[in-house]
Amino acid sequence: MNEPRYTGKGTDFYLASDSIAEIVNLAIDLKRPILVEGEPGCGKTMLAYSIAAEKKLGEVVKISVKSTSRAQDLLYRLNALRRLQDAQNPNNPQAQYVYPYLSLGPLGAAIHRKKRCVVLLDEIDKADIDFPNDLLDVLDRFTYQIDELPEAEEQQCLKERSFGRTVEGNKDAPPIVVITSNREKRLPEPFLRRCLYVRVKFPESVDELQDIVRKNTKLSPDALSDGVLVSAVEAFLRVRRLAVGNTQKPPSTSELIDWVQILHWNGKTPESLNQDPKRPPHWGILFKTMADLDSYESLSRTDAKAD
Amino acid sequence: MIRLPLEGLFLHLVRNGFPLSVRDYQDAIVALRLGHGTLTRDRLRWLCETLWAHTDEERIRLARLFRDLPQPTPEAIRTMTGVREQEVTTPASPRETAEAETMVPRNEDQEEGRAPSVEFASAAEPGGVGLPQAVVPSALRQSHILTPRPSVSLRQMIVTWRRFRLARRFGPKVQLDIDATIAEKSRRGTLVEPVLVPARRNQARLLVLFDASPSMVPWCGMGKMVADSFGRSQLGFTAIYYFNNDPEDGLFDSERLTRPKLPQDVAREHPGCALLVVGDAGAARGRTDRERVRSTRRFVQRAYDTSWWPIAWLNPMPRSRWAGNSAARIAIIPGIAMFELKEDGLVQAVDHLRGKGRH
Repeated sequence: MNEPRYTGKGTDFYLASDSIAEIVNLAIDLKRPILVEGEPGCGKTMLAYSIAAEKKLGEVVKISVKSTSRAQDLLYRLNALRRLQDAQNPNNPQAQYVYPYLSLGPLGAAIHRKKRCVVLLDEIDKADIDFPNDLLDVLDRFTYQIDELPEAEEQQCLKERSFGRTVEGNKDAPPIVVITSNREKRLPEPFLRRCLYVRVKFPESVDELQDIVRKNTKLSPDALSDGVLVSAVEAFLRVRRLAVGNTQKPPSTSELIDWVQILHWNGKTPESLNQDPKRPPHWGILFKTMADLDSYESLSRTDAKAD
Repeated sequence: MIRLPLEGLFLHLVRNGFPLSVRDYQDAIVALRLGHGTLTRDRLRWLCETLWAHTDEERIRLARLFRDLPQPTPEAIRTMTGVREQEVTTPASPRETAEAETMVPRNEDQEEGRAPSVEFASAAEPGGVGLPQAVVPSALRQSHILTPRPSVSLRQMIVTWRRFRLARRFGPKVQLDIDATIAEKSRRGTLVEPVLVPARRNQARLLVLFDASPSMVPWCGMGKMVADSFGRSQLGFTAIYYFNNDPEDGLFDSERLTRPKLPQDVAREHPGCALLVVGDAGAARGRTDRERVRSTRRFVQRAYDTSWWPIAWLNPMPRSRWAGNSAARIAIIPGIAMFELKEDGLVQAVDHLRGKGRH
């Protein structure tokens, strides 16, 4: 293994804990997919980008899974309708062949490229329950078959398109697969067993959150003073503690980053942030639904009275 | 004979019902060779946990196992370090002994008064009545995770419904009819537009009647699960109603047997469905109730008349408990096929519903 290890600290936009970095390294060594779960907005997707950036693997191949996604479409597509149209024209000899109408999908192309890259399957739980199982074999062996390509055309396809009926990935350095899930649906057991599991937790320490905000807002200490940032993070943690368990979606890191940005634009001071501990300025943008806003509103009022 | 690293632990886990394969074991060995999870016992535990334990329950069981592992004897360390020279790495290395000392030996834990005592809750407590309560000392210092294991899992149920297919072309025309398109082209000489047909969709109709009587309490969560599974089943039409012991007595909209529905109304709203009844048919209590059997026979006749056919009956009690009570008599009513409520039984019931049982 002469590749550098993933540390989780090497990028300017993401911080991964040591335990997460360790699981990522283990998954890379064992060539297994990484399944990332955690609260919405705590940086599941960013983990993939940080692996790619730190290991200098170029662009992340991002696949946003939809409810209509089929496993095969990620590998390759055959444009049969186009072929049918072309076949109408007797002067077009191309339609005799299948291979000009084949195109590799994002995952298929990533495997075919044979160069290590990071593949991100975002929100896999949105898809049909068969989707993960269909992918299992491909993610296991990084090899797939194009059954639609007739054997007679294989040589020509290899010459012109550089792939044949069997597309094999680089066995030694297969793509690093990162899968995120919001637990909307339970994933099938065999799939879970194949993945290494990472649970991204919400960082509760002020220092860590400060670091995350600095890295993501790109505001230098001159532009945003430490005093404001510390009081903002503390105020945010107060709101979050009250919101956890009482709201559907408690504010998470992504809301914190937006909020600090807005505080910065409005030129808030630490004093103004601490005026009303339960209701810091612009607290409303920390919540995403009407119901959550309402419940926090009443919660913070009753709590203030109790104090 | 040289024992492979982690072999004992792996076999122990497999014997204890961890669903692990040889591949999982090989992965652990590869990881060890690459230097993951070596040097300390905690790191080895971390490795096993990451690779082998996939649920909270499994994690806790694994942690317990590690806690109960005996401290390595000097002799064992000598043998293991001997192995280490031949193999590339083994889990136990000399440094582990230092770590092992910090671990809690098993006996201490056990001696700390584990015998459960009985206490009476005082009347002042919210419960009110002084009921005896078993008090287990918190010396166990571990949480128990109780995972409900229904006799048929939700996923298994969804997958089984997929066997129940009655595909018909239905809805918007979205699929290319190749034969018709070719025929059209040869007739006109040129293709004006491709011929499209509606996609095939599952038009199977299923009506589930669920027994929500007190004798079915152990399976009361099942009704909700069946209803959940319908949402993802791709069946053409589904409905679930509840009944109290005897479907002939009346059907209800909710599992708590509120909101009654007239059977005639239900029949009018959902004609032509295959019927799946889930109920113990008297097997849970083990009584023979002739009137109940007669009434069920009447129900079958009426179901036939309203074209609820075929009928499959899933009984959560094992087959051996049907004998000598109403269940055995209901099972032989012509038109009813009774199966056990477990994975095979569900598959057989669905096979029956999709036509194997049609007379």
